[in-house]
Amino acid sequence: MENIYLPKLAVIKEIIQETPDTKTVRLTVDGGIIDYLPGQFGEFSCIGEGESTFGFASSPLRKDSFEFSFRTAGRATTGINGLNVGDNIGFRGPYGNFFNTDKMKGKDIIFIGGGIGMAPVKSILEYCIDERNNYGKITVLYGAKTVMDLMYKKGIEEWKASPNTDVVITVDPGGETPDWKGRVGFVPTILEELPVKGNNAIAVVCGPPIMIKFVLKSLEKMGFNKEDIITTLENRMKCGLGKCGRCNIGSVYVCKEGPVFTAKDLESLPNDF
Amino acid sequence: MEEKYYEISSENIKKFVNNLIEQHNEVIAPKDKDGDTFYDKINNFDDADLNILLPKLSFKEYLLPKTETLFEYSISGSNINICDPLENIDVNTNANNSGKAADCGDNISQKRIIFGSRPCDAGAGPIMEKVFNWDYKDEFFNERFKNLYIISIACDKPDNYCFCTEVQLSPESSFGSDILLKKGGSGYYAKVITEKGMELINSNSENSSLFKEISKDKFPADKDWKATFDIKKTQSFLDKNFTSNYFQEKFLSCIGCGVCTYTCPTCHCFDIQDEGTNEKGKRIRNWDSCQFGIFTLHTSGHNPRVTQGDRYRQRLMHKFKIYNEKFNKYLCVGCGRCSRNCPEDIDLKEITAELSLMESSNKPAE
Amino acid sequence: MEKMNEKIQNIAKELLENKEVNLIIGFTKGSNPLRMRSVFITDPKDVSKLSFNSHCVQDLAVFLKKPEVKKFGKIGIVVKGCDEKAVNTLIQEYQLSRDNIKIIGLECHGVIKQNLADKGENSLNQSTVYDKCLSCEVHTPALYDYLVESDEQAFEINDNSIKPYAKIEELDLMTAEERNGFWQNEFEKCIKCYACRQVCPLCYCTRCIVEKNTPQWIETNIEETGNAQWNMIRAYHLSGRCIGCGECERACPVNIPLMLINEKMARDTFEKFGYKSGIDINAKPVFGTFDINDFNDFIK
Repeated sequence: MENIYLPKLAVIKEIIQETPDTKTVRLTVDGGIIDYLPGQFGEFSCIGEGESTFGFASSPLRKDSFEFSFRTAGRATTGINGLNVGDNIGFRGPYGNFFNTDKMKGKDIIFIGGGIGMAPVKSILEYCIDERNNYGKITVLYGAKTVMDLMYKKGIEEWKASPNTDVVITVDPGGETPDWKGRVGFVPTILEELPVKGNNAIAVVCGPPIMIKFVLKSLEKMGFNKEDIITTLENRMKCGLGKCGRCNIGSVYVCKEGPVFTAKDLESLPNDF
Repeated sequence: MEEKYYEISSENIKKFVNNLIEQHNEVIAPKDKDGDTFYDKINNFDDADLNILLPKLSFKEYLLPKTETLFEYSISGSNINICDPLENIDVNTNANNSGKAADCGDNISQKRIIFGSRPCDAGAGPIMEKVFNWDYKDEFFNERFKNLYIISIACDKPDNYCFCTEVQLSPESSFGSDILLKKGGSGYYAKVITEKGMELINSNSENSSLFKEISKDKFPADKDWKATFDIKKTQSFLDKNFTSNYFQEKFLSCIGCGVCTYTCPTCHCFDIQDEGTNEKGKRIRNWDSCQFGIFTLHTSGHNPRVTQGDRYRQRLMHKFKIYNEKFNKYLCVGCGRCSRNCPEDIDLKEITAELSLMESSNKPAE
Repeated sequence: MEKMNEKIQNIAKELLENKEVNLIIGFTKGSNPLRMRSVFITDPKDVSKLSFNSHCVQDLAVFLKKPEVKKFGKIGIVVKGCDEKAVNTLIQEYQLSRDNIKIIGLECHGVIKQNLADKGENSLNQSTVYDKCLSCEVHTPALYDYLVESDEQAFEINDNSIKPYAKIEELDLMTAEERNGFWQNEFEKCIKCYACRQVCPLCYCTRCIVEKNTPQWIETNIEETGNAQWNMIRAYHLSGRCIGCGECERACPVNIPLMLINEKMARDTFEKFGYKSGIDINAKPVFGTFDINDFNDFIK
């Protein structure tokens, strides 16, 4: 009998201290990766301390390893935070739906991420960069509270180096340092200043609920169709399998029918998130 | 299986149950404990208290224990060993790949017979089975369910908190039972619904001789139970009135404990946690409740369900809308335990009836 | 009880009409004739819903900790003497401002055990009331803005063999192992529904210790170890504070005799420190203060 709660043991290949309280962990399972798609998530655990839900933060086209990012908050993440390269991490997944990359082909894409919500955006962004010719102009808008809270410094350089790609980094007002050369302002404000139009374009958004709320409004103002705005939601989860009963928004289980939704999908959901 | 019908005297039903116990079966029945009745293991038919309407808790814990081991781990140096209790079941007879039998977890293949459950409680298993097999198969639940044999006794006097008829069952429903008994004749009439039921009757020659087969028309017909309100209307109210102030006002009196969900036969939400030392321990799942504030609390501090109104609304939505949309069953058997046990006297029957009425009178939501 | 109900209704009406409070929390008829429940009234027109009888088992002070209720600001609350002790303790512990609460105190001779009432019991006597009622020292609440006297006679205690919480003495005589065995048996029944915590007017921590996991103070399992840890930590957190309303025991769906622990702790606190909780809003919480004369013979 198959035990759907049984984790595979993944091996930590690299740990990147992104900010004082966030890390990205690079993993392999049986020397390779598991089959996953951008937007999906997994259950990652420090055996003995507990399991947590994270979206993949890497492009599945990179076959040597896969990544997730986390902030140390509770017991499970404190456990993961204490692990070293070579240690095991319990992994279950992948779960949930994914970004429809076919629909994105040939179009301009703006990727918008806030804080640690940039993790799943990074997965689809780097997937597109890996198949750069399939997509039109790429714009990346990434915001964090302060300069210190900016993650993915290595990634940002890589995104910038990709052809026909604009990368805009912003920090919230008051979060800048004297030598900060990026933008200062909340993500929705900066977004509306960008030369991005909604026709033949797709927007991918993830961040804190309040940011998503205002970014959706801004995108509509900029002429994006609701079907072309794609976001990935997070809700507290335990099983990831549609059983434990806590991630639903109305009749929709984020773990099974999400986490990727269009703004059009969100419209039909009750305000329970 | 084609249903079979029998007659059995009071004396013989006692013999039957005692035989089942003697055959080393774990028999669970309503049993008196300090003036209240709970489902508990009995060692003799006379331990069972069959005169009460319903035990205080359901027998849910035999399908979904309060705490259940999902796997065990042991750690030495950088080596982690994981023992899968489900694999353990397969290796009871044959060794696993490494040649030695794993030994961990709880005994989920323990055969248990519930004697004297009510039709409402019996209905809970096949309802919960839907979600536990929604794409991913939860074999812990399935294995326990497979090994649970249910002999129910039909009710003749449901009380004011009961509303099984409203949720598409009835005091005489055989849904979920392996054998349904109805009082009458020299003791009971029995309807055997499943192979599992037949297995109990045919478990030895004496048992099968205790039951006298009768034709279907000799089995007492169900009374004409009438629903007092239309639950579909309750669902349709919930469909349209997510933001209604009704929930916020009504559940001001809800204190946010887990009594309704934990005494409910169909509430199945759970939490997953690790417990143990640095060397060994286990991953377990524990009962959890949508009524607890922490249930949906995000790491960031954001909580999608802030008030107790939001939380009880979720309970109503899950039971009377979401589950029915997904699995074509209400996640409620109408046993009324949540109402009887609620410290603040919140009455689910009263609420579902009220919502139904509001919907049919087309009263606009406040 | 008609006169009493009328008085309660008139007070509530006056308080609401004069805008002295925005909300009245009181009792009203419940799901059956022998059950009562809470009611939340904001409109003076609705005061006729208010009533009181010996089935008003709930301690309404529990709602004063609820964020949704706190939002109302100034609140009027109907309390029995025992419930009022909870209001006192909330004020004493700075959870509630005396200025924000109007206390409608009721003279109460006792309430009938709910499990008996559910079986049809409707007479008030020494064998039908809760143990707390047998040893009650606050038939008239210690503090109130309004007092509504009872229209009924107090029942007489004519059988002196009925002792409240008699089991405590029995437990005191046991060996530690026997006592441990007794409680292990009781805690085994626990399903961790946290009704004891939620129904307690004094369990107001915004994040309970069982919800904190760095470190994991209390094991999460609903088995022997986790259950014992939970129930014991709660007893300790309430000792010197518990006012003995008995709501935890009433709410417990598996009948754990929680009041035996709480009452024992209360008796010990009185014996060692001469302190009783819930009596005086100006007293300092016994375990929130240090006195040079406190006994210290437990330090070895």
